[in-house]
Amino acid sequence: MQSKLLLIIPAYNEQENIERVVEELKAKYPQFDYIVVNDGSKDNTAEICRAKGYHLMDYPINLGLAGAFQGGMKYAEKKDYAYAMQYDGDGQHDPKYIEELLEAAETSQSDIVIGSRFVTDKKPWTARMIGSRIISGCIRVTTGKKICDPTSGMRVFSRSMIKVLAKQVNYGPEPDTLAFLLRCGAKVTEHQVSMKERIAGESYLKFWSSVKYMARMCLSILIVQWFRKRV
Amino acid sequence: MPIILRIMLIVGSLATGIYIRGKLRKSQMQIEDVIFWLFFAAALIFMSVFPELIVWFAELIGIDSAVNFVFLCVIFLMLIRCFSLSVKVSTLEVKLKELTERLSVKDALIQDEERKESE
Repeated sequence: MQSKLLLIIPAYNEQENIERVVEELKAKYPQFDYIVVNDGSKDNTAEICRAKGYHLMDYPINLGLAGAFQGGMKYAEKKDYAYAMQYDGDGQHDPKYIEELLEAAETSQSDIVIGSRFVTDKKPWTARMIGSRIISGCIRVTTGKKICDPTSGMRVFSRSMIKVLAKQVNYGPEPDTLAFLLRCGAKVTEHQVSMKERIAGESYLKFWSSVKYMARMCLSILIVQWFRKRV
Repeated sequence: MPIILRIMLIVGSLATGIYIRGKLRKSQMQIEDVIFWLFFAAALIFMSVFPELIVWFAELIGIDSAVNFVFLCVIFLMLIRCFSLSVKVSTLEVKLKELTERLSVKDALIQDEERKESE
């Protein structure tokens, strides 16, 4: 039986994490389907997945997080999943929230539910979170909506969003997509979660590239959005 | 226009033309892309062979030195080319992404079928 929700696990050079992450899912939450998207890793991520018999989508080249995510969305679309969720392969996301987020999506009839760290908890004043504040501010200015944790990767997408994200260009799993979908009338809600620190491996976002990332996000949300064709 | 610059332009254009011809013969370039460069080289030769025309044009639009007009033309053509290349690279990236994703989704679906059969 196919579950309602598909967990998309993008993995790039995650040989140290992937086994632990998937085994935890399989052991404690077997009711959810998952797919590991190996984004052209240079290490043994794909080999580990194959040896263990995990559900795997194996990219021959590295496309980046947006590409890995979109491939997962394409798969979810093909297999008619009602909901799809990004679940990070580095072990930051706590699987105990999956059920809650799915429930929240169903009861609130939302298009997107964000696993947010700051609905009830206060946002700290670290460099990273100041960046998060700036992005929140940009979204607030352009859409009038308050998104407490725009950079959280833990998001549940409904069927209608899956269709858009699977096919359209420029819909990566990033805050600017969120902002644009808000402007297109998508219903976005947030649900309090807590996240773990990374246990091993390197993050997609290294510290220096964060500056570039911030500039891209702000420009995209504040300026580029106005030129985009709405879905 | 200074005679040295004219000679340089002619020599440069001829050399570029020969180089492009070589690339085309070795099938390293598509004809659509070659056309631009051949046209570009031809325009440079034309400008160095008939400088009077350039001088006349430069005066017409209020540029004091004909050389500056040549530079302006070259820069403008380069910008257009640069932009169209940027568009092309973007399109290629999208296509490459689409191909990779589709291929891998198909693989995953086949894998699922096999799994179902073996169960």
